[in-house]
Amino acid sequence: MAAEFLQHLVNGLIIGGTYAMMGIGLTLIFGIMNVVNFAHGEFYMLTAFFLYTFVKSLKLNFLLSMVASVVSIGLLALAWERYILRRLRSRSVENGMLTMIGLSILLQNVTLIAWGGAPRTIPAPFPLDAIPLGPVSLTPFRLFIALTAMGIILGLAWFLKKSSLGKATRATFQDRDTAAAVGINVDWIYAMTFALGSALAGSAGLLLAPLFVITPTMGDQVTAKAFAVAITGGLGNFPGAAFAGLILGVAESLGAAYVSSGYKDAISFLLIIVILVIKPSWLFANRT
Amino acid sequence: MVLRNRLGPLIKLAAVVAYPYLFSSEYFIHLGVMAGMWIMLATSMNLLLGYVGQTPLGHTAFFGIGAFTAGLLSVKLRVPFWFTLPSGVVASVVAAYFIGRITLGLRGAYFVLASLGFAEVLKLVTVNWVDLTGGPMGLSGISPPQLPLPIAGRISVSDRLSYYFLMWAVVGLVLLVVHRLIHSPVGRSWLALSENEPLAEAVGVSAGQATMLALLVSGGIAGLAGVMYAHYIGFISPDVFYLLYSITMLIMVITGGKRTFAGPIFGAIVFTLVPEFLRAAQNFRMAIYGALIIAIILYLPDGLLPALANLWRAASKRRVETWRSCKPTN
Repeated sequence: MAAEFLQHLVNGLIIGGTYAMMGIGLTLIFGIMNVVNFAHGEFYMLTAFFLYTFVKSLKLNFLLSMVASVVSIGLLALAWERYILRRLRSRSVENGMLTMIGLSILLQNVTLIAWGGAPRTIPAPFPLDAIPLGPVSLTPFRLFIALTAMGIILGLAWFLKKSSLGKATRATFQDRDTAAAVGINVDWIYAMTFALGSALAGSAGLLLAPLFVITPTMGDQVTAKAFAVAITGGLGNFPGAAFAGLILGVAESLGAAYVSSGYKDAISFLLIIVILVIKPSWLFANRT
Repeated sequence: MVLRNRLGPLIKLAAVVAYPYLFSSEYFIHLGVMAGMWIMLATSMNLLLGYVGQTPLGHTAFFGIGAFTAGLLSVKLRVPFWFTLPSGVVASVVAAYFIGRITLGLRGAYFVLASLGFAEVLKLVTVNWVDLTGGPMGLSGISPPQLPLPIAGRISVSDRLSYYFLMWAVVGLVLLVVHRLIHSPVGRSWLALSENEPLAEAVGVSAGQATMLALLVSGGIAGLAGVMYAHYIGFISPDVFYLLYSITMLIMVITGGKRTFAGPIFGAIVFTLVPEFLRAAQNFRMAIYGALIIAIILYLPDGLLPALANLWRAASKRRVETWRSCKPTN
């Protein structure tokens, strides 16, 4: 009983690591650019489909394919920011949000046309035998997910805290006009933030794609989860999102095991409502 | 001008009455019924998006509550239409009250997400509560309305043509009420709030009461549209809670021109027809729809009607100027 509980807990934490990545991507884009990104899940979905094409059709090495997929999605995000989002920057939040909803519908259906609607699998080139770690056991691929997610999140935190580009990003977050006045290229920071945020969603897609089947509509749930994570952590709050991602992962894993798997997807929306109703003090305290 | 103002409503009424006889195929009458439903939904969305200045991305929750209340009462309890209609409206108004109590304090992205959260949770409840709602298979066998009329006796509104007139009678009533409301002090207080909330409050508008009233009216109208939809199609499923419904309402209002009375009506008619035209594009239909949304926000953020009105004004100004320049100057 206790071992089973521990196993669900660890599985939840691992999936939660990828939720944290999605949530951090979304929270950065909202915090810095004030864009409510309803296409976040589509960047996740599209990266998984890129991986599928690189691995299955072009027969490239798995890790190389992962890098190529993330780079592709980053370039796509850069183009979108440059030609669409930049033109909407002076308009109200609703405009950006509706454009992202339009992009989400567009990408889902372009994927459907290009790859078809049938669910697809991407086998990960890892051995399937579980490694026992004390009372729990993990497949090597799940261990790979945990380590990669942790590496990316910690690396990003270090980058924002220490590097000069990271400092410039934080300055832009606090006060765009003053940042521009002291010589920070705000256009460049916005472009980089959007590419980085989308690449984070994409990396989460790469890590989870071999665990589940991939379909063109899977982004809807991802967007919902990313919002649940970003809201729970406080929109614009980096460590908050990291922590909230782990919580959502564990809540879903335990909820599916002990309550009902049908309502598993409702957990993220319930979390959004509950958090917005009780409005904890960290919710509106903006910080990176 | 006076004559035109008097004739305007009569011409519109004549157009509504003549439509099903001019385009008498089942398909066109069906489009007419759906246009009526979308006009109600877009008008209801406009009260929040245009007049109060909130973006309810889960607005279809009220549409779904109206549809499911009417559907369940009709299928499970065999309750007649004259009872399911007010029940559906009351249920969505009550839901609007509770949702409003929770969400109206929120602004911007927070309100958007809380609103969306409610619709999605309702969707998952209807998907999972199979015994009551039929789950993803949906609820079928919702009876067509039976109307007890004073002279004609009990008539069954089961064919498309009579449903068309029933739908448009309801649409007409809703539009009359909304038109009255937005030109009343209440409507002006909504406008004042959306333009400058602190100033509006300073001159005595209660933001809480005014926005709550807008949400109750808006939720009630969306619920009414849901009831009309359920009895028309005879079948409902958790699909009524889909995000796409809310997005369609938003796009209708924005395309037509938010914060105007005629804009959402115009936008609803346009976007009832656009998907039909896009049927020719087959697989590309939804992709084009997505691209269209992006293009509208980029190029027509204030809507088609105001843009057309500006063009018209510019054109008539030019006419006046050409006329002036042609006059001999002495």
